[in-house]
Amino acid sequence: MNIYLVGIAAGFSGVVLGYVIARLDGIYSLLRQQPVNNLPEPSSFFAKKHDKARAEVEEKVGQISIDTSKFVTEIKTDNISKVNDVELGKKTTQQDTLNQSVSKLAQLKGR
Amino acid sequence: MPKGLDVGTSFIVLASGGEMPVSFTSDDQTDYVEYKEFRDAFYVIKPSTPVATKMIEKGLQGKVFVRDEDGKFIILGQDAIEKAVERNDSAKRPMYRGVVSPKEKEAKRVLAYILKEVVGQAEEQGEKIVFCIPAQPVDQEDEDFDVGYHEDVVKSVLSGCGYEPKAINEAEALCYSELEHDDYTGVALSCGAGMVNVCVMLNGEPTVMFSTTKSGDWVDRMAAVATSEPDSVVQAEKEQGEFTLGGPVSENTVLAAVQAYYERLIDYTTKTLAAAMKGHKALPKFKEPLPIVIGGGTSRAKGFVDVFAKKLADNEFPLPVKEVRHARDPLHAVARGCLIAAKVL
Repeated sequence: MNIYLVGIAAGFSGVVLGYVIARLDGIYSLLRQQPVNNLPEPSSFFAKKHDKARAEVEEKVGQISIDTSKFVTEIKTDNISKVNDVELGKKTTQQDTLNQSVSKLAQLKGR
Repeated sequence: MPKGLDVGTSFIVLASGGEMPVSFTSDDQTDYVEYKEFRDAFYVIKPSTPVATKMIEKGLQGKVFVRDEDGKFIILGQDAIEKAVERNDSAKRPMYRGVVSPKEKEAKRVLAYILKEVVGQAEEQGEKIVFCIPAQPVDQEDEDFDVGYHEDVVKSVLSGCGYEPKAINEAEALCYSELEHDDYTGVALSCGAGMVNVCVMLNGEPTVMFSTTKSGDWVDRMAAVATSEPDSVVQAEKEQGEFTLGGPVSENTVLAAVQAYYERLIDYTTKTLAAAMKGHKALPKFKEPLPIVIGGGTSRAKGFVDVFAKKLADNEFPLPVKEVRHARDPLHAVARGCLIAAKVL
């Protein structure tokens, strides 16, 4: 009697084990067909809130830009010494209608 | 007293103005503008021995030169070009294509020295000075071309002399000087040594501004390569020699090459101008034909304006043209425009 019971239990266990192995194999083959990269990203409960906050910061920060223009270092000319008193530059004087030109432009610019 | 300053690749021109008596016997006053110009060039000689130092110093008597702390001589201005030609060499430039030269180690220091000497200390703290800067070029993307940095360098030097400096576009300044009788409407081209700057103006408001990077220096360089002469020799021949653009070809080889490259330069500039204007969205619909004014040292070659007018028509300039004319004083016109802007400020 006992031998029969043991046999039935062993047979049942075998069927269950076979079923489990078959299921695992099925999942494995499914995983092989679908690369991990294609799986949907796990989403956190806070993900939505986090994205919104970050987007807001990004929007605000996006309006700020760093000044990348070249820095003008001190230009020292005191280590250059003049040897003679020759003046730099040739001067010429011309009669002109300067004040008339200035008035006309100032009027146009509303100044 | 406000001042105008043309910081050019080849010349630095300072303009200041006021009133003076018409004659010694009259109390009537007339306006005048005083220009001070200096050739933007330098040439360095480093003596190898104390004897050489004395010899060089003797040879430089009467010339414009300075001594550096390491003992070298820096010859400035026209004298630098003449000394370079004498040694079959080329003088250096503190500026290249309209901005502080990134190629010359000494550029910033020499430019600062020349500017300080030409401009001098302000008569009162915060005196107004307007200086010109080029527009961004349309034919070259160059990291070395940094108008902002150039502007900051010049501002820093002028502020150090006690001025309150403000920058203006070079061609805009030319418009203020030359378009007074055209209601400040027209096109101005400033053909300097390093660049050609263009401004299209409507009733005193600039609508389109740009620059091209080929001008007088390009002519010198190309002619120098073609004739195997240094750039300074070509420049000296070009400025002293007799030739007419559009006229018979010169018998002098250097001048013949200069003539040929000048005509190519004008063709290139007018083609670029026509292409830039065609369908430009910012361009207003002008009711009347426009005057085109040309200034700058490069435009002083005989026949330049006539050839320019012909090429402009050949290259299908899209706007109606009333006339193509030379600035009254091509070398000083930009500085005058800067002075007018400084007085209006």
